[in-house]
Amino acid sequence: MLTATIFLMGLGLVASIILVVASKVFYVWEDPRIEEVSDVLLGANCGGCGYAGCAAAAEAVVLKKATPDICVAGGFEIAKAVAEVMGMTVEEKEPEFSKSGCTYGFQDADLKYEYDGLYDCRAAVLLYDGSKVCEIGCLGLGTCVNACPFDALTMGKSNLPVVDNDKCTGCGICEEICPKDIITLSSATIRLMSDQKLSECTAPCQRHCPAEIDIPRYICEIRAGNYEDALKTIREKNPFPLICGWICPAPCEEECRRNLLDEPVAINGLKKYVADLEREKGEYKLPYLPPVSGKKVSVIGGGIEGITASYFLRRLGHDVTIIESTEKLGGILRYVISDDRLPKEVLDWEIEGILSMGIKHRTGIAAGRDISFDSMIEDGENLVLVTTGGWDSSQIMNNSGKSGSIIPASDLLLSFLMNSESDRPSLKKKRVVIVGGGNSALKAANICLEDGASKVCLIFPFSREEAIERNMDISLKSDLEIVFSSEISELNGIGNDLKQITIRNEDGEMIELEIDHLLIDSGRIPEMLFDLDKDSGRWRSVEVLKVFGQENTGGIFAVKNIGRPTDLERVVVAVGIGRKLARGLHLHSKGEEISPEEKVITDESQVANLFRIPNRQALINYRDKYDPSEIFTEEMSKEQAERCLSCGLICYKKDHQVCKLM
Amino acid sequence: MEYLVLAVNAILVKNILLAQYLGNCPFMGVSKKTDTAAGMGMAVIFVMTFATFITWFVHYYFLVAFNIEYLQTIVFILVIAALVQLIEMFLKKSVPALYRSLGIFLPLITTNCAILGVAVLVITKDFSFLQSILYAFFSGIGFALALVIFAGIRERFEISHIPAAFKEMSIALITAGIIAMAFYGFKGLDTSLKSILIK
Repeated sequence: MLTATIFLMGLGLVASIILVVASKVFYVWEDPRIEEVSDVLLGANCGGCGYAGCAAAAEAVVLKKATPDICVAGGFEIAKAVAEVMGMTVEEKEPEFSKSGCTYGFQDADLKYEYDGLYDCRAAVLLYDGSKVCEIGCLGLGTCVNACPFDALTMGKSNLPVVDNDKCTGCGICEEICPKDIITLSSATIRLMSDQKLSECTAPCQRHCPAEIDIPRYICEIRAGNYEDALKTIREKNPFPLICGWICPAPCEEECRRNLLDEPVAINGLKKYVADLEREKGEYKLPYLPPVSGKKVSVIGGGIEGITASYFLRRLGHDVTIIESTEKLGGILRYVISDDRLPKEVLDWEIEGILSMGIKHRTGIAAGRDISFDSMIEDGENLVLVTTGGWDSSQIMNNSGKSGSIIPASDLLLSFLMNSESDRPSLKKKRVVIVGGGNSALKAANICLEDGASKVCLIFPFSREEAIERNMDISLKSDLEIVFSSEISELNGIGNDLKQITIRNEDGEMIELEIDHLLIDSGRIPEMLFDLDKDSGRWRSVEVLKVFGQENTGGIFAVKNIGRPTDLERVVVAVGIGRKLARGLHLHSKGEEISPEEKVITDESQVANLFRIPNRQALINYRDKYDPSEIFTEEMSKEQAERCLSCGLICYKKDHQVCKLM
Repeated sequence: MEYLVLAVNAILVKNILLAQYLGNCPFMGVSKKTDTAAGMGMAVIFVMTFATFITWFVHYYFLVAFNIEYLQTIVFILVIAALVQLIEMFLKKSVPALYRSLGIFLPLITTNCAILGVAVLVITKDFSFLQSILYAFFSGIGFALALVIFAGIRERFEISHIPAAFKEMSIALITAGIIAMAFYGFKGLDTSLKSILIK
């Protein structure tokens, strides 16, 4: 008994001494903050952040390998708590929720075969890409539902995942696991930053809207009587629903699938109806506005394009000032479009609503004449966006091109040729570059040389052979240089002087040229973004419209090339370009590369589509007459909304119930 | 040759999980994914061998010497717990990579009955020192093998239609029983192997 007691006590003593010694010898210092941060994190170990678990994520935060907002599931509250432990600050981000991109279940979709195998989408996709004919149809086996660590997903009655936004934390696990990329993270910011993709279920009307409005969705919201939501959906892509309601030629209606049955849904009329409702109430509904945390941006030009860009920049958190040379904002819509086509009160109502978001504006100030480029670029805290439109805009608006050069030391070729000798800028002993090919460019080159320019360089977008075919006189003169098959990819300078341009030739080589003056041979000054490097004081142009996704961008003056419109002939086109400009600028201001979006729908892309509707009779039963000139009543709008087929790529409403609302 | 028979016996015939039913807690608890199951298996091999190494000495040089063999269970538990703690500290300092992969499993098995069971078994079977170490090592391999097989099957349950009444634990227990029956087929393999080898 005694031996046993002594032995056990001794053993306990020896073991504890060894452990004490070992804990000293093998002591490893651990940052106590790792523990504190792990305590703050959710502890779900979901892995949405990309680390193995919450503890690994906490370690990464403490080692400064990750930022305090690492926890994608925790949202702003958790990020704030983590930042507190670390003594840092975080910015609030708009919450993101999962969103399913497929709206038609098996009973409504066309099927290739009936699947009866392993109950997992990842297995089902191995057999001819799943059973639905539509390439991006949801396979409905609930792999995402099983994967969701927060129970935010359920399988709805038509075998499509339904997201519970209260539970969804935006961790992105479902997006990761879905083999067809159907469920993705989404927020208003993401939606307004992205273009329509081939991997999305888009309706024909939506694909032909230059502003890319989610038309089926807003019609569905109107059908459900949610007029405010409908307006919100429209404003995710178009800040001018009322103006477009008045004057948009509605290319969407031309493509409406109902054309195969009777006549299109009054898409534009519905848009005008919801916008009119808001105006009658007299209260402009503001969207979610993030705190102003981005850059200060000067936008030159207060036309539709400039206002649209400003609107989206504000929604992305930037501080915008619009600079307009006339007394009021609105551009062509104010000074050219007649009152009976677009009443001025309508224009004022929408512009004032947009300005009430906190967008500053200065009118009656012509860039290049009343305000110098360097003061604008400094005022705009390094960023200046040019959205001035073309010579036509300035000529029509009683402003015969004398507003001075908006971009330092550069003129439109047309204004240069039209101006008399006394009005021309002095080019004595200057190095001049003329962009664009044509006899007018050659003519201008000769004038420059007569005026005493020390050197003239012509940049042609086509090859030497083509120039000869066009009967152009390209015989070499001293002081005149012609560069073929090239484009300008960058301008840069200091203060109010243009110093250098960068040319990209057909082999993709970059050539830098010293320059004093630039002449632009295109109908309009293209949309450009200028960025100031604070350290060197040099500014440079950024290729902001790379969003179109073609490989050969055509440089910053690529007005005539594919993808870019020659001029913004419709207000809805200007809206589309304005939004793309805002995206480019936002990416650039965050220091990210303005890379073109992938798999974007263009005119050339092959989209699975339906060109005939087999069961005509069932649908034609509820046809009714529609006269576009009528003013909509609520009843009429409901009727029109009811006529919408809620189209997807291939699916469409075969009975009255389905509504594309996801 | 003797050791080959020992290995077959420890891994297949007298599998610690499926024939001796020791360590059922981790068998159910950490068998949802094959990679965690493999991690757990490695940790068990490691700790089992080390623990038997120490307890063998403790038994013959202390318990037998002081004539207090009846304290075996309590002493072994104490020694194994202290040992695992020590190993954990040592690994954290000296082999951080191994610590990270075994880390969370080590404390889990401090008081596991499979470890204690093997430590006691080698004493009751009167194994020599080398036999004891090898037996513990092979038992650990048997444990890892059974665990990984079981986890592989359970992973498939994730994507299978299982009637509501059988979901989760019930189907797991039934499966464990069926695997144990399959392992029952190895019975007698070691004795027949022995007789062949002796001839």
